[in-house]
Amino acid sequence: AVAAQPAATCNCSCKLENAEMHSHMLPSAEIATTAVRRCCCRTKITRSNSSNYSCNYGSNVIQWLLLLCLFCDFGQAALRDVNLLVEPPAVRRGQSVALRCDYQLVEAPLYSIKFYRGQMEFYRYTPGEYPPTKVFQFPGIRVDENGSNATTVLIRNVSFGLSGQFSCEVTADAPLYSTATAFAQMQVVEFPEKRPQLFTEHSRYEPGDVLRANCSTLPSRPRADLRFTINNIPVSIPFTEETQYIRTVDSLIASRLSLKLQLQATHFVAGLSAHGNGNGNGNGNGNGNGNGLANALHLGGGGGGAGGGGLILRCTAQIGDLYQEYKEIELGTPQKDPVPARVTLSSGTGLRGFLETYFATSSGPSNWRGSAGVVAIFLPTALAQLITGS
Amino acid sequence: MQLLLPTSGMPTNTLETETPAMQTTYWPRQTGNSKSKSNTNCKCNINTHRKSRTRCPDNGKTIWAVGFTLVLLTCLQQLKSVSADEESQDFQKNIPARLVWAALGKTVELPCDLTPPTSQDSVKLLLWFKDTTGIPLYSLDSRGGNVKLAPHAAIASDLGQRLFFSIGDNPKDSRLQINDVKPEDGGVYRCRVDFFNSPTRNFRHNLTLVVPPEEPRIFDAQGKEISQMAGPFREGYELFLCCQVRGGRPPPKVTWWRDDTELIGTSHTSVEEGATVMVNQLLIGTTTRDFYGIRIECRAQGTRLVDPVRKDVTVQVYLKPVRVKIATPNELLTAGQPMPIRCESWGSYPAAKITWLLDGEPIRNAEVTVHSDKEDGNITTSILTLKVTSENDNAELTCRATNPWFSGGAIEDKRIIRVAYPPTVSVHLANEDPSRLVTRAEGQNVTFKCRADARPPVTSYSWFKNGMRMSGESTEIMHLTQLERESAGAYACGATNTEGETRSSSLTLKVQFSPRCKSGTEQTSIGAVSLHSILVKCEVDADPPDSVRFSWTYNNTRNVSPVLNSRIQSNGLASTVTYLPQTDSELITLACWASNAVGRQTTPCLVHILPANTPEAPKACELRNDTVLEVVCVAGSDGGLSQYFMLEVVGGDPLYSGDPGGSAGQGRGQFSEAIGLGDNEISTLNDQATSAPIFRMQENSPQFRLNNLEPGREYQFLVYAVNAKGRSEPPVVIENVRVAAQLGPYDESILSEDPTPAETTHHGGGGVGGSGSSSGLGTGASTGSGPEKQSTLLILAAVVVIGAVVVTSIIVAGIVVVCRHRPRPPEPQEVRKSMRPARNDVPSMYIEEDELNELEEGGGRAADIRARVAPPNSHLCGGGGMPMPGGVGSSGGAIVGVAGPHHYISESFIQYAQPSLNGDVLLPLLVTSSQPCSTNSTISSVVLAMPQAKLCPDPASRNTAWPPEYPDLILPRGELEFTTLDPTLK
Repeated sequence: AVAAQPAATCNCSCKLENAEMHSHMLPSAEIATTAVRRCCCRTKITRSNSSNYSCNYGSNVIQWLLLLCLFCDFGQAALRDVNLLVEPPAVRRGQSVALRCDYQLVEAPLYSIKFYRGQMEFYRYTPGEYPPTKVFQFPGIRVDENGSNATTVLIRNVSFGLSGQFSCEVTADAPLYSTATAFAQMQVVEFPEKRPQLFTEHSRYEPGDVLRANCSTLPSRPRADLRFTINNIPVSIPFTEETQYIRTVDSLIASRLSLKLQLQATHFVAGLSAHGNGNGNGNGNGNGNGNGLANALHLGGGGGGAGGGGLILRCTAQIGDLYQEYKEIELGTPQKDPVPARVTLSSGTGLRGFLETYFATSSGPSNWRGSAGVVAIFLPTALAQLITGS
Repeated sequence: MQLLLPTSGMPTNTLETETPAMQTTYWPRQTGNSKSKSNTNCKCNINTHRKSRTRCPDNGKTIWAVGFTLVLLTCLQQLKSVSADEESQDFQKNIPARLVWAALGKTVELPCDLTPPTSQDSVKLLLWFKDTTGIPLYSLDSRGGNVKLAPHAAIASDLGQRLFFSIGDNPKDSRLQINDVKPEDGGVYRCRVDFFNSPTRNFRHNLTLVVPPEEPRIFDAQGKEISQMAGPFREGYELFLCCQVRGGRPPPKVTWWRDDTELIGTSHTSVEEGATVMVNQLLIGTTTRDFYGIRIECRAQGTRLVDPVRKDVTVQVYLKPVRVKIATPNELLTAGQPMPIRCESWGSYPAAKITWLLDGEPIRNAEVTVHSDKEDGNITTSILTLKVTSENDNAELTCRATNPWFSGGAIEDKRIIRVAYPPTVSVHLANEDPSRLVTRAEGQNVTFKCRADARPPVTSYSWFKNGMRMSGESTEIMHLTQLERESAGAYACGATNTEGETRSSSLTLKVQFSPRCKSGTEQTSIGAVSLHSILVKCEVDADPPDSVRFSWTYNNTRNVSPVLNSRIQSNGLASTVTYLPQTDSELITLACWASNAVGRQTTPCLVHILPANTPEAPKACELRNDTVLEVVCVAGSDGGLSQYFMLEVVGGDPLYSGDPGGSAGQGRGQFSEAIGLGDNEISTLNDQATSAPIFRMQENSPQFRLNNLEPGREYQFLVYAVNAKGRSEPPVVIENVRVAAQLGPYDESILSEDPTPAETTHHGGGGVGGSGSSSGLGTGASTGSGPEKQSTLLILAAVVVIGAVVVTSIIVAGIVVVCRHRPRPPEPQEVRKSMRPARNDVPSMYIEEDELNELEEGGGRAADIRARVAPPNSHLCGGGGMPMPGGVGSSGGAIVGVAGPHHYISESFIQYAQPSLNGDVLLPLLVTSSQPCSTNSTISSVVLAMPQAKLCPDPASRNTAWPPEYPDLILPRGELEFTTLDPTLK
């Protein structure tokens, strides 16, 4: 039965699980190696409390001790490959988590398997006793005895306090009491209920205007990291962003990010798509149910479709690799089509505006972009005049 | 459900509360770690940089390179240590480990509480692990029942053998005991206690081995390391020591100790060469005496498990002297007597330097013995051999003790010394006149006062005159009344106290007195000769000696009359008067009176004028025959006139033993026939013959030296004392004087000296001496020449002797012939002629004063003449038989007649005598040397020539021979006449 259970547990093929196993494998292997190196015989000694230790035996006793040493070496090698697996490693508050302790023990009876949270033992399996399992009540740890067995402990309705280190300690029985311990980390998280919110001072901006934007998320744990991107380029100008973290009830943290940036022509790029509408809303939904990671990936895939000829401001909220959501706003694109103007003497002002625009464009870092803009503006005007004239 | 909700809510809050706390705890740790890292790096860089600069600021790139390398190495080490710390911290995240320090070789206990959480529960299994899980070090399986009876099992290894878990009376005190801790025992020990119904409990202990620090190093204020002796420090000054301890884990605490009492110092940590150094600086502002010789200990102790590492140094403190005392009792000192004074000083280190002062002045050349005894409180003793004088009375004697190491801190002990000294005495006039010479006149008074300064006071006084104690005088003041001349002298006073008697320097008292006769001259007598002026002298003593006036008085049997001042000559204290006595029979006394400022002489000096007499004969004449023949006599009375002494030598008989006797016999025959006398005449003739002197000597004292006597003959000496009145009679006769023949050298000297005595005799005595000397001279010359020739040619010498004998025989024959031819007529005529000049001489003695002076001179000559008369008489008789002696006598007679002619004759005689003598000598020698036959003929011709010249004056050449012969004939005749006259006068 003992051999069968580890085999069933090993059938999981999730990468993360593999990673977890791999990360926990090394310490365990190291521990096993160390244990092997420290193989020694053990001799039982009966002494009174007050008397000092003394060992005087005949040659025969020594010979028997040597034989026991040989046996001990073989015995020490019996306990190895102790691993602790947490499923899932990051669990949402109120959910359940399973702790599984894998080990290999050959030709030696098992004395006990102990599960610790930090320094506190909360679950024990002792095959020599009845009942073999024992649960110790600690605040915040609710063990489901029905779902627990010799190697697995099921904990329900986890709370934030359970975040931290868990360990399982496997001890063989006399005479060597060979012992090995495995460690694992468990993280209890809470995600924001909705996507982040993004607000701007104005809906339309021209080059030279100052862009003021605020992005905030609902409380979460751990706190969410916010960042801005303009046309998919991160904003990396220093002293333009200000981050605030706000603690709320239930020990949750809300994040808020402010942006103050003076726009330049370079911030406005031509839209790649031909259609005029620039709405780029994603289709992802932030449902509470389901795997957080899967949601993140789906949402990421849904993004895209940037509007052409305008400025797209995006705010992304991320909690490690567990959670990621964003929101975009298209800025700077006129809502109606351009209206052609009559060519008369009174249009001198327009000509001056034209010249100013030309010089401003020419002073920009990218000449090809400036020339493209001029062409774009000139052609419609020319076409309008031709049509009106005919 | 409602009930469940509140319950679940409360635990949730608790968990939430704990979780933030954990997070909060986590972040500061990381921050602390980073800070510690940066601090460590900064410290490494800064310290190393500073060190390099401090050590070799002027070195160039090499130092920087070395410094850089050191910095890198240090940082690497620091990084390693940091990483180690991180690992340990990660490990400690689960269960905090309690740090337990263990010392090598000691026993350490790791506690493990076995108390079950609930009383119903009990221990099921106890396991001890080291560093990691695996096989536990120790196990205690009490599943069977009571924990105290459970079996213990320890790992079969070296560590296992040194382990034992003891369960005390209280399960809470249970502990694992590790005996004989070894370096490899360090590590993290975990105790796991399994209970039956309670959760398992784990305890972690980080067993860390204690590393003792290095031995402390002690430095002084100058940064010099001290090994044994610290210091020297000076009392009252600061004491600074610095102790540095390197290494040690845990970092040691460095403290200073003195006799198990901690001294407060300043501790700080510094980094040297990348290692942490604990420093404690001990600064004592004022070093006290109790620090002397103590041992100050620097201890470095990291934990009580290990004994502190110690290093102690002995503190050397220079101490000031604490006390000084003159130990010798203050007694009365004696001047001039060395007295040891002992001074002791305590408490100085090094030994105190003791100096002695007397009235604030250092005592020079003081004999000081110093010895120190360090075993007895650093006592320094100085013994001063103090030799005091009277001036040191009431002086302040100071003993000063100093330590040369302190500029100040000198302490002194003083005392006033009292000196006992003999009196210091001085004598003065009563009126405090400081003069040392006091002049008083006779009859006056004088008072002397004796001043004495002494300690103890003077007990008695005494007075001394010319060094002699004056009896009856024992007071401080002495009175002298009615001063006399004898009162003059050196007066001194003496004072006596217990220390002795002292005499003062003398004060001279001079007493002036009237003149008086010099002692021994109150009455004197002077012999006087008639018509001879004498000089009478008077000498006196007087004070003052100047301005002495003299006056003389002439006392006669009839009257007393003053002497004319013209005849008085005074000079100082003497006065002389010239007196011319008129007659010899009159007794006259001259009195001398002197006066000076004091007064007139009371008793005159008397000089009695007595008639003069002939001198007394010398006495006790004796003959001395040392290297030189000498006659010494004692003078007798001079008869009132100055006297001199005369020695006459008579003798030479061996030469005339044969021939003189023969000639004398012939002479005697002639005289007897002529005069008609019998034996009496013969005896008289003998006396005259013996009294004829060979020569005379004249001396002022009766001592005569005879150098020119011819050896081989017998002589007779006659000694006379002669003064103006005449000579002493009878003479002192010394007979039978023989001169040893061995005096060869004297013969030569006599020959060389002969001419001078001859001449002297001529001037003084007359012809008699000349004739004697000439005769002796001729004979001596012949004899002298003889030996020379004999020494060379014996035959020639024999011939010469024979020649001489022949010549003598011929001369004798000639004389006999001449006497027979003219027996009677010439003798009476010659005698009468000579008598007349004698008569002329007698009246000259009665000439006046001026003539008397001349007469005095002439008197001397007259005496000489009288002395010569006797020998001429004998010569005259002899001359009758021999022509040569007769010639001499005649010349003497001529002198008697006239003074001038006398001199002339003597001169001519000398001239004649010498050539004649030479001629006589030369002729025989020439003849003898040439031809014997011709010699005989020459001698006979000479003999014939002489008689012919006398008989026949006609030949001219013979006339020349005639004048010399005439004086020869005249002189002996004169002498004969004179001799005849003397008996008539008698």
